[in-house]
Amino acid sequence: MLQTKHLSKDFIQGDSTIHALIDFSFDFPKGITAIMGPSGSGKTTLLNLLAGFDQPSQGEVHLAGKRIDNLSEDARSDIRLHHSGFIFQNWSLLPTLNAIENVAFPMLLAGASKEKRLAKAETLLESFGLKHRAKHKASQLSGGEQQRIAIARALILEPQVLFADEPTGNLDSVSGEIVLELLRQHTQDERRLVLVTHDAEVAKMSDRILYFRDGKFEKIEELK
Amino acid sequence: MELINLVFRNLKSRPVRSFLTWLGILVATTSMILFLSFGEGLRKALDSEMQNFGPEIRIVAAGTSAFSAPLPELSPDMLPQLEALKDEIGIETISPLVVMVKGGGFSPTSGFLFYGLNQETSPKLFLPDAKPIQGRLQPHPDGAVVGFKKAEQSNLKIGKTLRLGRDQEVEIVGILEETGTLSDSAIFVPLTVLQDAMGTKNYGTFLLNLNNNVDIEKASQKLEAAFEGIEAQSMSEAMEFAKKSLRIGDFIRFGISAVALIVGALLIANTIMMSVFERTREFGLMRAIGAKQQFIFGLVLTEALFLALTGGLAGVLLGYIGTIIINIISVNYVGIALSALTFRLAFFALSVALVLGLLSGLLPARNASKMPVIKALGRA
Repeated sequence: MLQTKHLSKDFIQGDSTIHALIDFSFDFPKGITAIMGPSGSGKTTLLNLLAGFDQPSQGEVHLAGKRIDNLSEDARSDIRLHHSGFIFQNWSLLPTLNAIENVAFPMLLAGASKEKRLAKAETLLESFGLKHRAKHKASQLSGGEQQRIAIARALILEPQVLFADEPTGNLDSVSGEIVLELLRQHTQDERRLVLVTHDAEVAKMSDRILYFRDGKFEKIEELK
Repeated sequence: MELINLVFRNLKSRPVRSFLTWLGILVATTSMILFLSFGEGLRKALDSEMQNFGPEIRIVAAGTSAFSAPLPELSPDMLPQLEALKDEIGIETISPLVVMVKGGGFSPTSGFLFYGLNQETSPKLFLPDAKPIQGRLQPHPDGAVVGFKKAEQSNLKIGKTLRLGRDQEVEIVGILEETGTLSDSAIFVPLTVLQDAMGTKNYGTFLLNLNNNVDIEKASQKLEAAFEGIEAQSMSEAMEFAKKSLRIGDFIRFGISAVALIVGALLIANTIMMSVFERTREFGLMRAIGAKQQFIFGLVLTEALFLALTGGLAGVLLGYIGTIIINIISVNYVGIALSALTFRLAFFALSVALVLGLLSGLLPARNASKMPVIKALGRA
């Protein structure tokens, strides 16, 4: 479902080469996999490569049975749309759309009719306890509400893989707990969630933690 | 439809900037419509004048330009000589004419344009559908027949006397129906009275109608060969000359209005560029969710086209209102509708606005769609 083979990413900075990620091979099991490490350890680089935002210098990324690292930008967009969802730390809603339209946006890209889109988005919002905020724009929503809407949007096309980059990083503890609970709920089945975090408390809710340092994978800690 | 909705919302989210850009397109299109509508109006007026004008050939003294009032330089001896050539050349009728402009030139508000017609010539020569609304049609033997506009503007009524010279006076015996042509501003008087007023026995011009199937160009050549110091101008020639002048005018006017349009295009380009710059992360987010490059390209380009189309349409509408106002004024002052918004002009103006919208949207659209996702998201 989600696998890396000898994945490396180098960045050229002036005359020097920075090895942001070095030879990482891993087959992500179902459940939540947290990625931890200090700044510059390669966590974000790995997430960018897994989500198909960037292309590796070496190695392969396989998602939903397809090798995605060598695909075109548009082909990777297509994989992202149908097989994965991404939850950013902040600024993750489209500002001109209201909550329900934000949730339904991936279905618009997938070509679904307006009725279908809004019906499914409404169901999701209801299950997230946000139906009453459906017509509100991002600027009218709290950080926690925005993040819950971003999760609903990531889930609307029922992807097998979710990526989350510090999803509670900008939230207060109560909102953070609600967001984590939602993520937990939606990774009960076969779904995989790859979660980058600095927060040990957040990492504790995962099934395993992968530790990185200086671009290298250090160790895996199985929690469940 | 969804795309248009997204475009509209984005433009609405930056209302002042979007409105000012839209206004720029509107002003540019309106100015183009107004500039070019003069050409269309003059062309229409010319067509209408020419359609109403019966004679095929106008004989004038050499050097008289196609649309000026001819001076009385043609000798009275020419009339019998022309009569003698009637059969040989194929002339049907000969109408000698004298033209006098008095007062403020061709301006119907301050000037008077007199046509001296002989007994056989009717104002119908200029206006086949001419009908009097008051009095009679024929100025002969002793009166003046006044065009509708002239009568209205100078408050000329039946029975009033017009003084043409020191001892020459004519009474108004008829007022013509409005025709919408320059003849609405003319006054038709007996030929001999006008000649006396001008102190000459000469004629200004001979207007010739030819028999059917007579080649106008050949007839003109024969006439110019038969008389020295004259020009036999065919009406189609005059028409061509006028249309050529109009085309030159069109180019000049288009050149001027193009400046406004280029400014409009730069406004769109600037707005869209700024909008793309401000929304870099938004586009990155769309791409991260799964939008393809083409979607972003279409979104940005549609925004430029939407501004251009709606601004252009509003510009055409405002231009149309402008032409109506211009025509109200020009009909009052010069007697003809100078401005016209034809379908082809509206189509042309709208097409130019759209093409400029397209061109000014292409680069920002390309930049937005080609930006790597990771860069757009600020995760590089």
